[in-house]
Amino acid sequence: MRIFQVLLCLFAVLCPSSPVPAQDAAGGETKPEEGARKFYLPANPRAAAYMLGRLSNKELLQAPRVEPVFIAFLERTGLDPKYREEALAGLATLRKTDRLSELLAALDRLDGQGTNATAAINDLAVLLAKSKSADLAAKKPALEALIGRAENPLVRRAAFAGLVTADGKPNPLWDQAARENTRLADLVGAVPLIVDGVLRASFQPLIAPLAQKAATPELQQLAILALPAMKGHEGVNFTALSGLIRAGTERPAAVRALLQLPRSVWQKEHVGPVAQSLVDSAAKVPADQRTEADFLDAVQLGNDLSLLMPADDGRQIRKALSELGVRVLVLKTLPEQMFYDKTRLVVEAKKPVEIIFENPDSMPHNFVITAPGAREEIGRLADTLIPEADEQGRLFIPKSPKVLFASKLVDPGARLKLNFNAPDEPGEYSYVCTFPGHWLRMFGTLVVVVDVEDYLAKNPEPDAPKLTEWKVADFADDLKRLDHHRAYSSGKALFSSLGCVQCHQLGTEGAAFGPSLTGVFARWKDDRGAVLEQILEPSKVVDEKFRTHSFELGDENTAVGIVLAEDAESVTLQTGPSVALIQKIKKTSVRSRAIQQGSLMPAGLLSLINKEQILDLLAYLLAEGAVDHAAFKHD
Amino acid sequence: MHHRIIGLLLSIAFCILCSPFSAAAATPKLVLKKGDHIALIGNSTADRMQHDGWLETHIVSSFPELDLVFRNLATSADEVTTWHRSENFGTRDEWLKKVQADVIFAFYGFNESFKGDAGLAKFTTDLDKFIKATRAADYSGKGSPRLVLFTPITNEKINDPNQPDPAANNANLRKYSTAMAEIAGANGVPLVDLFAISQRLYSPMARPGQSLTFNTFMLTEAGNKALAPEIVRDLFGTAGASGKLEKLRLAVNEKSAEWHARYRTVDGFNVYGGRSKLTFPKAGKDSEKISNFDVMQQEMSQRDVKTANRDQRVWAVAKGGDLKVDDSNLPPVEKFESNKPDIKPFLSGEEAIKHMTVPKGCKVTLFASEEQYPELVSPVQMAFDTKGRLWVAAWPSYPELRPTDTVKDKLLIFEDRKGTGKADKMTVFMDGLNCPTGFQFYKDGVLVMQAPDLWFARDTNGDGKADWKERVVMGMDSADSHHTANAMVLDPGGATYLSDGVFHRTQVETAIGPIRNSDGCIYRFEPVTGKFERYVPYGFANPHGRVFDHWGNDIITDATGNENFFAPAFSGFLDSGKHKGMQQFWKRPSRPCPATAILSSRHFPEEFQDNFLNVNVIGFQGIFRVKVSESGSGLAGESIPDDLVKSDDPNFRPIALGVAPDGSIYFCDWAKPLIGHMQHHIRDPNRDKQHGRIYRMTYEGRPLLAPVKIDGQSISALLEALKTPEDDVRTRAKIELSKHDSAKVIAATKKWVASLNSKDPAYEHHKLEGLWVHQWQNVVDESLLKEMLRSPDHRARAASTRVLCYWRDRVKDPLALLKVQVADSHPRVRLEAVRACSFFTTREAGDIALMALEKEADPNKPDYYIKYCLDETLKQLDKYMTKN
Repeated sequence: MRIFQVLLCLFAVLCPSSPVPAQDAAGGETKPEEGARKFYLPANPRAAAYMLGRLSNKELLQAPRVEPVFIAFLERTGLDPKYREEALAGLATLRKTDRLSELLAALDRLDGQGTNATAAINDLAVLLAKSKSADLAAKKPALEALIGRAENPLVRRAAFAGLVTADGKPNPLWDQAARENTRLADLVGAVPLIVDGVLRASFQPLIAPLAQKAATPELQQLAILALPAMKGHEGVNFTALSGLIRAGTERPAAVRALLQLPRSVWQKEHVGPVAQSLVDSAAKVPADQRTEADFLDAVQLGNDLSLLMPADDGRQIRKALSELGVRVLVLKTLPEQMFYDKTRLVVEAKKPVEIIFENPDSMPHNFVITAPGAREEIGRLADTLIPEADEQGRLFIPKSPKVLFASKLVDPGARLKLNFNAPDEPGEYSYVCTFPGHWLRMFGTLVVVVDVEDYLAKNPEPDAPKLTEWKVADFADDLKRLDHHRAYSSGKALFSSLGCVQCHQLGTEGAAFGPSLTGVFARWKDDRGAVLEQILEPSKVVDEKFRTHSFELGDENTAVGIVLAEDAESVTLQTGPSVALIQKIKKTSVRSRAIQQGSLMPAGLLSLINKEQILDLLAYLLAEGAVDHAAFKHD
Repeated sequence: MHHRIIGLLLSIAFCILCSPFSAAAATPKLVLKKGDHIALIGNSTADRMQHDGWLETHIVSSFPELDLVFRNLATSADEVTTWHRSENFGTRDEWLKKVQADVIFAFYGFNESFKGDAGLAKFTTDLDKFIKATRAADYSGKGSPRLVLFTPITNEKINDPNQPDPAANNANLRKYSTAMAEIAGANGVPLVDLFAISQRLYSPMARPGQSLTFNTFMLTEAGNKALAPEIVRDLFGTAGASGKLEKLRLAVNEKSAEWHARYRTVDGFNVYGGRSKLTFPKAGKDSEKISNFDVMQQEMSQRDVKTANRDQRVWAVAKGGDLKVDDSNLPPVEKFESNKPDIKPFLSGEEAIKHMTVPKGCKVTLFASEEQYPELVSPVQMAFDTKGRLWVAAWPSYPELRPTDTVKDKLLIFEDRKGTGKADKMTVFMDGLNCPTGFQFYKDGVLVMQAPDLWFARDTNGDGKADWKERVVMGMDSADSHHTANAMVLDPGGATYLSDGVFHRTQVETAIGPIRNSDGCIYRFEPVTGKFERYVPYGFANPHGRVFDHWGNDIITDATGNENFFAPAFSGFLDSGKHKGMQQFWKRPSRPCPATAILSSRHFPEEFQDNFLNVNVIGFQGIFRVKVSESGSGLAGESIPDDLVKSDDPNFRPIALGVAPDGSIYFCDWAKPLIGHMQHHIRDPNRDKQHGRIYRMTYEGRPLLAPVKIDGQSISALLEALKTPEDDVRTRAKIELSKHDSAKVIAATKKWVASLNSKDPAYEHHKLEGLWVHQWQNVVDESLLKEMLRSPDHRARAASTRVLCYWRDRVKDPLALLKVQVADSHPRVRLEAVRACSFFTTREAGDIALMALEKEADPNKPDYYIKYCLDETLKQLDKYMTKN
């Protein structure tokens, strides 16, 4: 407690300064400080926790490592586990305890926080289960006590996973738990958390019977959901789950479990009847529930199963499922990659479609359907738009007849249901994100057909784009190959198609939004690895001049970009790679501002291309676009 | 003696120092040419000049042969670099070009001056840029315009304790005026030093106790009358006009009113903004379409021509003659068919009652309808005055007046002198209005909202008609006329509120600086002090409902979605931006809702008491009843299945309601088949302009209340009236009290509070009324406040915390008091304390707001409204929450 008090001091955080003079109000205000301000943490623990709660994850991560900050690290949703580990270690040092004690204490605190804490509890459960069994063994009384005390079953399951790992075997724990349904349910629910696959699988003979018959529905559901975790028993569990689905026993759980089993163990002889039973049961679901998770899972499983059936039978299943109502498609963005998770969506002409658009990425994206072949035109038009909402509150939507449907920008972490009628004319339309610059990468084909089934039968799902997370180390032996035999045309084309040219100048080419690439190798003293690292990890080193500033404006809009100039009254901000995107923001309209850590340049730009292509691109930069450079000489 | 001499010397020195341009020049500063177009731009000093016409009259009469054209483009709160207008209004340059300005009178510096020394350099630069850009422009096609700068006037020291001391403003204004003079001199641009001229004029006026402004900075008509000849002398070196100017001034004013209706047209969003682009078929489905823009711009052209026609009369009168204005040359406005031809015929007012379902025991009768009173068309707001008469704003021109309309909007007074429950007399208090969206009583007159201004209008000779008015708030936008400032309730402490909707760009000039807002907001206005502030800036569509309950809690209703909010939680201070989304206090069954009320009347049985009444006009056409109860720090509503009124007449559109002095309920029927603003063309021919009804509801078998006498009553009688359970009676008593001498009212109130019987179950409320009378009179009683802050009743403590918030600048150590309130045993009190903290500018205030968390049983599941209010308070205080 003493340390707590001592450390509850004032600390400085680089966080949104609010140089907002009273625009709308009476004068006589104390003028707040300009620039990065000193963050103030109240001494009172509740007040401190509340103030920390007002920080974004990014801001929190920059906070000095004091006790309440560590506590927040453990309780926040969406933090990388490494920060949770850091907090455990930090607290253990501060309080002279150990990692596991702090982990259990954190779970204890989260126990009272209801559903908001679910994500953090799940993260901490993994950390607990990953702990060494010897350490866990030393904490058995504490784990038992937590199980006895906790109200949230997720916390009890985490503690059980710890106990099992400490024991290294199911019994005697199982027999003790079996005396009480709730306790047994907690233990069954803990099994998928166990890290050791062999230990997990040793529960198969105990859990398999419960999946067939259990004292409570909850227990049976947990048993069913544990089956996919039984390594080495996939075949028998597929049969079991198929039987449950056909019998209509705990069908939603069985469907979800079956979806988790690898397709390699799906047995063809079961596929047809299971698919048929899914069709039959789906038909009984009221129309307004057909966009809910259980229904969507069933439809997905039905479709997946149908692909293993004889072509005609499979088509029958897909047709039946698709006729059950609105065509619902789920489209997501891929975090930090600037891609949609699907490059093709197939819909029936003129028919209503619902797209559930989820954006787990950290920047906003939208979904715009363009006329066939108009993606680039619309994308370029969108690049020139100033961020001003149209009548429907949408940003970056060009006024063009070639825009057939357009959503609002969906904020990071948000989801939006989009309902529209598919175009009347069959054809290959585009869907694209029109946030400036995104259209180059973030798009797909909206295939509009008369008969979806027929089309899918003839055109199987394309492979998902193959993404490689390149590391500088992958090029350890290759960077010397830059000097000769590179393909000029490939480098030049990539410089355009990857979008480099949109933001960077190279010689006379390109736009001056990001740093100029002319002489980039010289700037890095010909450290080729460093140049490559800049492309692979743009946020690692960001030039002060090109830091991303975000401004929350009085009209609820946000402007994000690079500050070109700033004086007492206004900030000149460029929000994208076009002079049309330069805007002057009056400081009086700024509610808050923040400097973002990351770069505006997306990561993962190179993840779609191969090593040789990357080398061609680097050579193109090295040559500054000169075709006669030595790098392109072929002896 | 010494003081006087020093004062005299100072003022001489001051004139020399600060008014280098005020002495009559040998050569005129400005030479006017025949046919010159003179545009006025800038702040409210210029804006107000178009309404009394004195400056224009003096100039025109000085140069009768020049046929001058004046166009006023000024707007209250304009600055040299601001142009806060609704979408697509047109830029300053575009308007200067439209009026073909040869000469520009630019009135800047007042609103800018509130930035003080810190803003002076920028102002100087901006002004310099403006001068250079203006002189480089050619708006008339005849070359660069002749520009004249006008400094701000000196703010006047007024003999009214409720008006601010202008000394601080004047220090800034002097600096800004001097800077203007320097820049003008450097650019060779003439300047009229209104700062010096006005100062010279104030002292002789002050001696007989008169003033040129009513609020220290806005000139009255008399003020402009005194100022105009001084400006003419300064500009032209002539003595200015003499003799009878009234005929000319009336001609000028008639012209200016036409121009004002054009330049500041209401409903701009539908005339030139986003929704002007909406199109409708001209003659049935699939026919050619016509937009709002097409038609409304044709109307604007008519206004241009009407203005020009009136210029001609001004010239004729100036030359000593006259001219009959002939508007036969107006361009046509296209006609088209309704997109809703299937209109159900109107039932008579009596017949319509048969289509209403009401709770058992309730009985509806017709009080008045257009059948007896043809002026009663489209009633939109209603209220009972201290005499017990029913005032109604009638809006036949909805959505707004056409240039050729002869029937205009009105403020009507209905009386039931025989007590039969039927109107037997109707007086037109004001005529010639355009969109009177709200009104409220104040002292011996009435505040009337007619965009862009809020007027204070009075009947000084007792004939029942307004014969005096002053614009007391200017700059309320009306981009969409049906969400122009409305729902003007009074709070228990005497402030009134203006509810303003989306698309609007309101900017209001106040004695402590301009207030600007984009889109929806509810404003708080204290008529006694002139204080005007943003009360709830929020993402409203069109807030139309506004009530205060018995204990001063308010409920705000956004009409479009019929979203009803417990207001204390989201009315904390924000200096910019708006509050985040908040939960509704009641799960409303349908929408939209144009008005609300609280049923405070013992004429109705117990189960009706304090019901929240919510009218609804589409789908469900009637009045919902809502039971309101305390829930945590807020209030929660629950629908009562037995609706107050429900009608199956498709033309029945209840729109305003209230409780009469006898306890019966009155409600107005807008009586329209077609009401949508977006769904039909603004000028759809089926927009009804002929119907309007007022109904009365009583409860059979229960006696009506004996109306409490208010009008003309003594202070002590009025204080006794504050014990009446009916909310509206107490409000009327406080309105009447404000007609009395304030010092006497306060003295009597203190006695009355001391004499209250502490055994009375309503003792705490009576005492609270005593505190509210102080607030109404703008007199702080710190000891009474402190007593009430610790009242045994949490509702009184919460209400007093609100009073503390508005007295924070005048009580000793207000934060120490809030520290106690924020630790109160009741969450409502804590909520008010957190809210009050948002009005401060120190870290300590934030620390105190955070203390509310200590009282939460579970900090992870805090009270919803406290958490919301704390979030918003910290959003405001964040910038002060820094390390020391």
